[in-house]
Amino acid sequence: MKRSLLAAVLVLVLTVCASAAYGQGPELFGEMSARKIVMSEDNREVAVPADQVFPLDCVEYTLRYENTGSASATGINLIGPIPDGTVYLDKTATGIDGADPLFSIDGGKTYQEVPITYTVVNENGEEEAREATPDMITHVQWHMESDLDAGQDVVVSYRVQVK
Amino acid sequence: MMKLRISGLVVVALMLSLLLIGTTAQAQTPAGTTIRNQASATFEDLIGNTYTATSNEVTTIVLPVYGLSILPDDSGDDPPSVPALTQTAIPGQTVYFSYNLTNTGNDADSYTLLPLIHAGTSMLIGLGDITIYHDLNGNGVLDGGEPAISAGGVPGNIGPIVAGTTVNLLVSYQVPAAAVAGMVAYVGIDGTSVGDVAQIDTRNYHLATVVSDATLTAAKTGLPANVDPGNTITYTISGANVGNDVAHGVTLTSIPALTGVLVYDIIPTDPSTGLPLGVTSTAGAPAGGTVLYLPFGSPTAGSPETWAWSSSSAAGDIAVGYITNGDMAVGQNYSFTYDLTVPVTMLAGIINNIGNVAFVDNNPGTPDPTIVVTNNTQIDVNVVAAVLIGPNGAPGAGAPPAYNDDVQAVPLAYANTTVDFINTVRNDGNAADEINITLDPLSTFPAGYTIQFFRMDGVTPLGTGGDAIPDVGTVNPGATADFIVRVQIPSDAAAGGPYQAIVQATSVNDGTAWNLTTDEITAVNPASVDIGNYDGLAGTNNGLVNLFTDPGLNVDFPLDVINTGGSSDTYTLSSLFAAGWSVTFYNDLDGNGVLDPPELAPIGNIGPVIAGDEVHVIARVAVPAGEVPGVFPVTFRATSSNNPVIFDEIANTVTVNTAASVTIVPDLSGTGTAGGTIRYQHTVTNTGNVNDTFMLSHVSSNGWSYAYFDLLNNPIVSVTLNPGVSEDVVVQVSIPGGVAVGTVETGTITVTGNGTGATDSAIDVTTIVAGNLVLTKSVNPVGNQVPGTELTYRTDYANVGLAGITTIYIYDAIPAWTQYRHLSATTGTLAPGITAIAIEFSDNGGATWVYGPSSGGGGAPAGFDANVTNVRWVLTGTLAGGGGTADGVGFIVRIIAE
Repeated sequence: MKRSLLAAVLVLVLTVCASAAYGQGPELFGEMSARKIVMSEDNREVAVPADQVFPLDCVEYTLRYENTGSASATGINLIGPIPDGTVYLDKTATGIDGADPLFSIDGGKTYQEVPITYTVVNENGEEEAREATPDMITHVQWHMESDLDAGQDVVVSYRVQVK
Repeated sequence: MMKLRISGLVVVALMLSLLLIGTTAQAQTPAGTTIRNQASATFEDLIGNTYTATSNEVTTIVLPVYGLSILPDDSGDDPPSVPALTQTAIPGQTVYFSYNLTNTGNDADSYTLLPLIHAGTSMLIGLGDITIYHDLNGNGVLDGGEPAISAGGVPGNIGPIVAGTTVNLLVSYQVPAAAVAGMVAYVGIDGTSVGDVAQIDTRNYHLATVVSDATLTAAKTGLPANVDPGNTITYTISGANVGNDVAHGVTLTSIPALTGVLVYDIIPTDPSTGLPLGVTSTAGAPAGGTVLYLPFGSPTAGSPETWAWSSSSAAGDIAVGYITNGDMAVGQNYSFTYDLTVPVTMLAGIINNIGNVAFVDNNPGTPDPTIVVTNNTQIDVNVVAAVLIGPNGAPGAGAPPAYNDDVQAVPLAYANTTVDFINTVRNDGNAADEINITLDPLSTFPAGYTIQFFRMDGVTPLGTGGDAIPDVGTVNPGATADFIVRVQIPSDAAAGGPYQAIVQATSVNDGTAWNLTTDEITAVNPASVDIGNYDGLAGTNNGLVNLFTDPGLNVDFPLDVINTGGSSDTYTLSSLFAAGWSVTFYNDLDGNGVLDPPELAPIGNIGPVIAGDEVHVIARVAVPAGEVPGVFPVTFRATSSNNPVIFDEIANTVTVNTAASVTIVPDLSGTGTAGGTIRYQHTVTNTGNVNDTFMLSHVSSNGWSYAYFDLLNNPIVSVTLNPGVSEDVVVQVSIPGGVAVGTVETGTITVTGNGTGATDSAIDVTTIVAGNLVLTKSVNPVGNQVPGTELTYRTDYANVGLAGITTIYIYDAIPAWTQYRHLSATTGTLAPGITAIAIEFSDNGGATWVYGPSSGGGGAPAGFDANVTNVRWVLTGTLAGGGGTADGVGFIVRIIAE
C-alpha cells in the first residue's frame, strides 16, 4: 500500500538513527609520486623531483597503496596509466607478489602479459597477430595474488619517457 | 655535420633521402604541456564487495628544449669527401646552394646563421662575399624580396620558427672572375639556437668547383606549396647552360636513338602505399625532346642514362624525365614541367623532392655524366580532418553523410546509479589528430545528472591536452580510440526519460570536423521501496492486518521491507499512531516474524539494503493502559535515504479489547468495642477501559451491619467511575452491644460493576477488645432547627462493665450542613480514673488528626471552621468498671445559613 494518509489526529513520530558506520572493512589509501631519473657523475641512477622535465627525460612513477581499513583486502588490482605525452619504457614495471605486471594497449579495457599482441586485418582480409610496441601501452596493472591485511602496504613502480 | 648537445641523447641524423616523402620532425611534447597521472586500485572485501581507490594526481610540466637541423650534411671529414652539395661554375658566376633548416625543439625558436669557409678552399673568397638568404618559396632560386639573413660576414637571425617546421635557405656567392678551372670552394652554414646557444648545427660544407666548360644550373619549383589530397602538384625543373662550352647529351641505353641532356625526377611515393604519385601532364623545353618514364620496379642504380627509360607512361612509373634533342649550347635555357597527382588517401606531411640534370662535359678527365642536383622542394600535403564517433566499436554508425544520428540506449536505469557507455572514435583524416570530446548543449539530461568522460580503465578522466578540453589523445589516421561516457544519476532522480547525452568528437587539427553520437537512457526509475506485512515469503503482504490487544499491552507487527529501486538504499522507519501510543522498530534479524531476545535493540532505520533485497523488521506498538476499546489505525512508513520524498506505507489497525476492571484497596484491620462502631476507608479504582457504576456490598462473618459513606460522610451505595479514576469510600461497621471481647469480625467488602460485572473485594478484620464503654449522645436544642442555629452536642461515657477500660478514643463527626464553632470542643467533667483528655481534629474525614481549627477556616464565617470534619477525644487513664460521667465531651456546630 503506497503513500496512504491517515487522519490528522494521528501523530507522526520519526526516529532517525545514525547510518551504519563505515570503515568496518578494508580501505585502500593510494599515493602516487613521480621522480625524474638522471645519471650521476659516477654513472648511478639518481631520482630527483619531476615537477619539470624535458622531452626524452625518464620519469618513474611509484604507487604505494596501504590498507587503512580494519579487514583484509583481496583481489587487488593496482593500475598505473601511461599519461599522454609519455611512452612506457620497456621492462621497467616492477614485479609484485611473484606476479609479472600486465599491460593494456586499449586504454585499460583489457590487459595482457608480455608479449602483448593485437590483431589486424591484412591486405588479404585475414586476421594477423602483431606484437605491440612499448609506445602502444596505455596502462600497467598489477594483480595481487595474496591479500593485503589491514596496516600493510604495497609499492610498485614503472617508468616512462617524455615524448 | 655535427650535432652538439650538452646533455641527453645524441641523435645522429644521417643524410636523408630527399627522394622520399619527408615528414615533420618527430613530434616532441610541446613545451608547457602538463603531464598528469593518477593511479587507481580495485579490490574486494572478504564478502566480495568491490571497491575502487584512486591516488593523488601527480603533475609534471614539460620544459622547452631547443634544437635545429640543417640539411644536407657533409661527410664530416676534411675536406669532406662527400660534400653536402656539389656544383660547377665558371669564373664570375654566382652560385646558389639550397639548404633546409628544421626546428627540432619543442618550442618556437630563432637561429643565428653565418657562413663557413673550409680551409680546403682554394678559391679566393671571404666570409664577406657570402650571403645566406631565406628562400621563402623554397624554389631554389633567389627571388625578389627574399631576405638576406647573413651578409658581409655578419651573422644574422632567422625566426621564430614553429617547433617541427622547416625553412629553406640559399647560400650564394660569386665565383671570382680571376678564378681558374680546378679551384674549389668548400662553403658551409653554421646555425645556433637562440633559445639554447649550446644547440649548434655546423659544417654542412658544399663544394663549388671552377670549370672552363659547360655548367648547368638546375632549380626546381613545386606548386602549390600546400596541396590537398586528390589535387595536383606542378613541378618544374629549369636552368640554363651558364658555362662557356656546350653541354653534351647522354645516350639512353634503353632507347639508343635518344641522346641529349637528361632532366629527370624520381617521383615521390605515398608512404601509406609505397606507390609513386601518378604523372598526369608533362611539357619540356627546348622543344624536340622526349618525355621519359621509368616503369615500376625498374632499378635506379648507376648512371641515369642506363636506366630502363620508356617513352610511354604506365601506372606506377617511378621516375619521369625529359631528354633534349641533342647538345645544349652555351646560354641555352631548358625546363621540364610535369604534374603529379596527390592520392586522396595521402597522409598529411611534407613531400620532399629534388630534380636532377645529367649531361656530358667537355673534360675527358672527369667522370661522365655530370649530375646537377636541384634544390629540395617541400610541398605540404594539407591536413584533412575527419572524425567519426559512435557506439562501442561502431564509430561509423549512423546515416550518411553526417553519421550524426546513431544512438545507443540503455532501456532502464535507476536513481543513485551510474551508467557507462563506451563510445568509439575513429580518425578518418589524413593526419594524427587529438580528438576532443565534449557534451553537446542539446543533451537532455536534467539538472543533477553528471556526465564525465573516462579512459577505458574507468578511473582515469580523459586528458585535456593543451586546450583544457577532454580528448582521447592522439589518434593516428584510420585508428580508433574508445572511451567511457559515465552518467551519474542523482539519488533524488525522479522517474523520467528518455535522456540523451549527445557526445561530440571534434578534430583538434580542424575544429570544423566533428561528429555526434547519442548515448541514451530510455527510462530512469527513482528510488523505490515496498513495505508490507510479513508473509514469510518473497514479497510483502500489503493487505491490512488487524491485531487485538488489551490496554496496557504491546502488540507486534512483523513487516517486510523490499528495496524495489535500483541501488543500495537505507530506509528511515517511522509510524503514525494514536496520541499516547508509541511504536518502536526492531530488526528482525532472523526474519522469522517474531521479536526474539537478541533482536531487542531498537532501530530508526534499516539498511543499506541492496537493490532487490528484502529485509524484515518488527514494529512494536505500545497501547497505553486505560485506552478505550475500539479500532485504532497504525501506519508504518519506510522512507528512502537516497531520496527522502520516496516512501511507502502499510496501514494496519489495532483493536483494543473491552477490558472492565475494578479494584478496592486496601485490606484493613482494627479493634472495636461492643456497641460501638469502627470505620475503614478504602479506595475504589476503575482499572478498566469503560466507565461503570460499582455497587458496594459486604459479607459479615458475624452477620453485623455495615454502612457506606463518602468522604463527606454522606451515605452511599455505589460509586460511578470513569476508566482510570479512583474514589475513596468509608465502610462503617456497627458492633452490637454485648459482643464478647475477642470476637473477630471479618467483613468482605465487594465492589461490583453494574454494567460490566467487574468486581474486587477488600477485607476488613475487626477485633472486639475488652471493656464495655457506652456512649450517650445528646443535642441541644432538640428538634428541627432553622439555619443559623447553633447545636451543642455532648457525649457522655460510662464503663458498664466490670473491668477498667484504657486507651479510650471517643469519635464524633461534624454533621452535614453544619460548621464547627471554633474553640467549642470541651472535655466536660472527667470520669473517675480519667486523668486527662486531649481534643484532636480532622479535616479529612478522620484519616488524620492533625488539623488545627481556626476562625473562618474553610471559608466559614468568623468564629467557625468549615474544614473540621471530625473531632475525637483521647482519654488518659483507666475508666473503672461502673465509672462514667454525665457531663461528657462535646462541641458546638452551626447550621449553615448562607
